[in-house]
Amino acid sequence: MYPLQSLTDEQRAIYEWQIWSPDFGEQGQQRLSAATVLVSRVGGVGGAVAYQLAAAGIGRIVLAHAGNVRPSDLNRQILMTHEGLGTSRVESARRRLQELNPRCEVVTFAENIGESNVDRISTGVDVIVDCCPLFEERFVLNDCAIRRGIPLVECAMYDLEGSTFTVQPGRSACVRCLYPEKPPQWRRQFPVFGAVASAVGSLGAMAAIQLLAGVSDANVGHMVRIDLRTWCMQRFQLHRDPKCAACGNLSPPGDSV
Amino acid sequence: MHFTAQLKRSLGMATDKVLLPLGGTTADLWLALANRFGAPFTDVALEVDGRLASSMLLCINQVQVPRGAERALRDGDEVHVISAISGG
Repeated sequence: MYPLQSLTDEQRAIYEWQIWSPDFGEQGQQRLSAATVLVSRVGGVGGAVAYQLAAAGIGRIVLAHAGNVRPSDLNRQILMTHEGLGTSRVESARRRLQELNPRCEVVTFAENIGESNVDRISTGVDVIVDCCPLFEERFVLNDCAIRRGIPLVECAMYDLEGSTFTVQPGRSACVRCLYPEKPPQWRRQFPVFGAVASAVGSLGAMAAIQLLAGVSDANVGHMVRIDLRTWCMQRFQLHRDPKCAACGNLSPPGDSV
Repeated sequence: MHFTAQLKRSLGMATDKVLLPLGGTTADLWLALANRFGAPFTDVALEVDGRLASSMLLCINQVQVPRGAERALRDGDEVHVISAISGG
């Protein structure tokens, strides 16, 4: 995190509605302004995460997503536009985020996360938000977060359902604790609405904001699930796996959240 | 019982009630569900040896059960089988 700096009058004017939040205040805003967040993939969920982080005044957002905007992206990827069809996703995302908040530095990588680039892309990052569709990418991000001690917010969706949980390395269950191997039946394409993606993305963004501002870590060690068919929201207590290939060698699971 | 995501889609239902004999365990539960639903349950939720698949998370009364652990079930327990999902 960059050194905290006093807010300018402009920042106070823009963020005053959240500064009024009693346990957040000016110091919380300063912490967001000094923070860097990596959002892996800026599709349905990741686009909503990045949008809410930019709106909240995160100082620097790093985006990683390969490829160009396709027609089938537009039902849920709120940073993509019809005019942007056929052009770089991360550039569309950068443009939209900077229209929303020109004070936010947006760093883009037109590549998907993999073993070969994850350390480079995550350097200097305070929180990672994983919105990847492929478990291979999720495992790479998870292992990097564990190795570097970076908190990881996990976001996922399917149909009218969504979930999020936060990994504090060595303190709470990681992705591999819950799912030790790639689910064989998972497919990259699945039914979903944009409103579901945005709901999950907003939850993930809030988890990152709370961690960065030091307000709450209530999402650590717990999975929150929403089902927008039944309008149920539930919270599940998670446990570290002492045999986990990624985090089993860190502090004993008995100390976990 | 609560089923989510791909498992819910495969079974065509989100919730169900299952009656087990007194002292029934999670292994008995998987067997009961396999008998009732057949392949739509076993293909998605179980390994070939009858254990819960690694792509499923088991929670009883909103607390995750460690993988591979067999649990005794009590009357009124709320069991969630949560399918692995992802972003996109």
